[in-house]
Amino acid sequence: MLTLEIFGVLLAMLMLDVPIAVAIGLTAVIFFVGQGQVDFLAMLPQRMYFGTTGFTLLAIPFFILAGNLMNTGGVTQRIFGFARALVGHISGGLGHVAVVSSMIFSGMSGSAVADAAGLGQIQHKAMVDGGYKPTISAAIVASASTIGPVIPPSIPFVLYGAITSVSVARLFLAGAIPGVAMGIAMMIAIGLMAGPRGLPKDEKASFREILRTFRAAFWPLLTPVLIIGGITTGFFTATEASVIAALYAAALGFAYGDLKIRNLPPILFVSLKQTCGLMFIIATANFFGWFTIFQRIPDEMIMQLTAMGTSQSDFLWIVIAIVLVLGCFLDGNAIFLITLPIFMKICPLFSIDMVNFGVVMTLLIMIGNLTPPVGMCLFAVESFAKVGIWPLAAECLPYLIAILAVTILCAFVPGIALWLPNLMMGAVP
Amino acid sequence: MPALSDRHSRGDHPLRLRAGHRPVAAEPHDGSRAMTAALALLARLDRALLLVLETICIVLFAAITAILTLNIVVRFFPVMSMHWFDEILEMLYGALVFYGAAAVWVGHAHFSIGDWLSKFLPGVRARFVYRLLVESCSLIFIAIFFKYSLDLTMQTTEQTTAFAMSKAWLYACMPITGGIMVIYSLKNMYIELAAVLRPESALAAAAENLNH
Amino acid sequence: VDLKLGHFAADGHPCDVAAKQFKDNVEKRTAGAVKINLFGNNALGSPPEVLEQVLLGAVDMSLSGQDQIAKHLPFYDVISTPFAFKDYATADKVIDGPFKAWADPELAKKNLVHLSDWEWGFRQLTNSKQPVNTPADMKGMKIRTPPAFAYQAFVEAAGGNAVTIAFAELVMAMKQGVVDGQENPIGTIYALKLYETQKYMTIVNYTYSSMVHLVNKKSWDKLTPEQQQILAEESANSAKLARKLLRDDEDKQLADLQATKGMVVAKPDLKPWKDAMGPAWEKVKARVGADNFARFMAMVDAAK
Ligand code: NA
Ligand code: NA
Repeated sequence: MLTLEIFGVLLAMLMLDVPIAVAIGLTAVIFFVGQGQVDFLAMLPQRMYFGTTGFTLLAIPFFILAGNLMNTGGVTQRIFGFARALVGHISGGLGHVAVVSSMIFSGMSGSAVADAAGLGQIQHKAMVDGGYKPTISAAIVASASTIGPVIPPSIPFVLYGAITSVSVARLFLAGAIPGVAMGIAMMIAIGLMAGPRGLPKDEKASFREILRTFRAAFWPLLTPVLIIGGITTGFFTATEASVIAALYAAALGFAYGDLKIRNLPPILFVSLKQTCGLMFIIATANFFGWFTIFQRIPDEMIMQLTAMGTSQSDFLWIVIAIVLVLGCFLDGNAIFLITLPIFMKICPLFSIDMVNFGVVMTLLIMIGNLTPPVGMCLFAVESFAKVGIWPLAAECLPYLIAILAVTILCAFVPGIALWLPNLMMGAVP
Repeated sequence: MPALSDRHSRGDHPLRLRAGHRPVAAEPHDGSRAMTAALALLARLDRALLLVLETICIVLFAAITAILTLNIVVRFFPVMSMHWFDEILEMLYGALVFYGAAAVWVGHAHFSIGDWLSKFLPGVRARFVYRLLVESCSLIFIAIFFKYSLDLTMQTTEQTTAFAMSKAWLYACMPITGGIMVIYSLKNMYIELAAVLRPESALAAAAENLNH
Repeated sequence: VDLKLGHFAADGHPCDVAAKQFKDNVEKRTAGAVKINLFGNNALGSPPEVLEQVLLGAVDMSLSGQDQIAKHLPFYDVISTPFAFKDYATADKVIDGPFKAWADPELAKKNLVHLSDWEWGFRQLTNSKQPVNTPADMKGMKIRTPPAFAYQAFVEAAGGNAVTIAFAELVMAMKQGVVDGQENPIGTIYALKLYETQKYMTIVNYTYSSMVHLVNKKSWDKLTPEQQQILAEESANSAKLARKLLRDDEDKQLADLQATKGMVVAKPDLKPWKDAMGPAWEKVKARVGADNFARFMAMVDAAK
């Protein structure tokens, strides 16, 4: 009951347009004060401080910076060109190019919104120029951008690792196959609609053209090898990998001549503003998470679930339903921060693997990025596509179903995600 | 991923007023020249403060990058024990987060779902009362944050492991930035309040804002 | 009265078992007038954060490491002086006796009531590279320690490189091979399955960690004298239980680590280790003050 009241107050404040960070923190404040426990407000700064200073979270500014540098530094165009030569001729044409270039770019960038805002503009322009209807193009771009954080590197996985103490390296590896599956599922959806919708396609590229675009994209294509290879071989931690990625992106930008020293301060500051806006939410949500544990909400929910005789698959369906509903209103990172402290106590009860659960949760918040009224990837694409949020969201539906299918598959067949990390890092008994 | 596109870059979908469209400024129609001068000074202070915060953030970030890079190098050429570096990183990152959050706060750009409600409210005054309510949520929260972070900083008796310095040096970024954010929330409150009292002039000012 | 107790022992750790006994017995003996709410396994935050929560009065009680307390009362680091205690009996005698008498008034100045010392254990070295019998064998090895002054001083005096990694990231760091080794009590090594990555263990017993049962003074004063008496007695009982369980477990775990987990355990002569500790002792002495250091060593000598 208390749980419902708490989430009711939180959602009400969010809908009133109170800043997310404030809404989350103020909800906990209101309930502490309401219960006459004003003393506990002393914990607000402590939880906010320790919620932000963890070593793992240091990866966030660097992954954001790396994405921004690549968008400015000419890397994005090279990848798009390569993807176009590869799959532009398949039925559905540029739609497949968008998905494939998103999949490749996912190996370098950690955030869906950055992909939508950067690479997305290039994809959208090419598709509209190539005869795509703007709404259809925008929907493909927005949906494809959600592959970004599933294929490593990934900011949501970093955050998940920081909250649950699950190995970020393991999560990164676990995301690879589901991320590729997402891409394939979307390409199937595009292929199915290509005929009825009359989607245009390119001429088949010559082998020489493929080779030329591959050479142009060669150094950027090495980024995933550098990041994932470095992490899994123990060369460096996820945090250090993020620094390497940012330095590498800067080096590529300078080498291609698309990035100038004078571009650096603005890119840096935009990246830092994005980081700090996110970290401030993480800070207040850390107080909220402490508050839910202090109120024994996880224990209360465990008791109710056990009393109801819930099974593992029931629980997974409940999680899917809760996160999809929250995903309509809240951004994904906030969802992680307010639900994971609760879910992570329940998962062991149903013997759910925490790595696989991380993959499922990430896929679910990616769907949330595409559902109105609050869908971050919708907003990012709408900012340049100008087709209207609701028509855009409606057009996203086929791809959303494709992602949901992959999500449910991953939830109930843990082997899909866990095969790669177990192969590379050994199984966890 | 809220942070990745702040308010100003998210564009104007049908449910949202762009930040620039928000009727926030009552200033040019308040008449008196002293008032106009005071507001001009305030605007200049805003820009100066933002510049200071931006510079602090970039310097902190550069230091973090340097230390992390050094740590990777030392990993492969172990010339020294780096156990102190955690402590420095914690201090720098904590400061970066809160100074950056203050910069975003001063820019009124912390992520929210957007104002879809105003256009359904009857009358200009009701809209401003609603915005006043939203602003007051921010003010209350940040005032509580300021008070208790100041308490924590003053009270802490903890010493850090490597440098045996007082934890107050680490915590200090919170009351400092909290104070800045309180001042800016008060300013926003004043603007909204002025608008509630004189909605007509505020609306005209908002219209003028649009033309910029 | 509702009292919240925060600690960092995982479910099933001897201190977790002892905490549950503490809760049950206090609630029974006070006929429910005093309720104990347990928050184990870092639920409220990491060990230093929970201690700060008790200092701020948000949480009523904690089981805190001595290294955490030393961050507020630097003299507390004497207890972590490498090789001060030769066995559990000496450690018990000093920590329950003269050291408690010394520490209690100092803790009281921080508004903390010190009930008893539960147990984390003697700390041992493990690594993934090679058998370590003398300090020379660990020259240049990267050893993870918690952010604790005296532990780092030990690693450096023994010739290793101390690397600070948070407790929560310990297992992952070992798996990735970011560091070569770490130091912890046998029970922790066993529970975290560190044997999966750490083939070699050296029994050095280099320092002894207890879990100090602390109560915020304001929360303490909410209790009647009878209730305070019950809490003090039950805390002492739980301390006894934790020590017994932990020590019994240790022998079994050590045998199992060798027999079925493939760990190579060395029990070296400690003389070269102690001889190498000069710099570490100097560091501790500088940190806590020469007087305090001498006072503590006199306690240890008297207990031998
Ligand atoms: Na990615
Ligand atoms: Na959504």
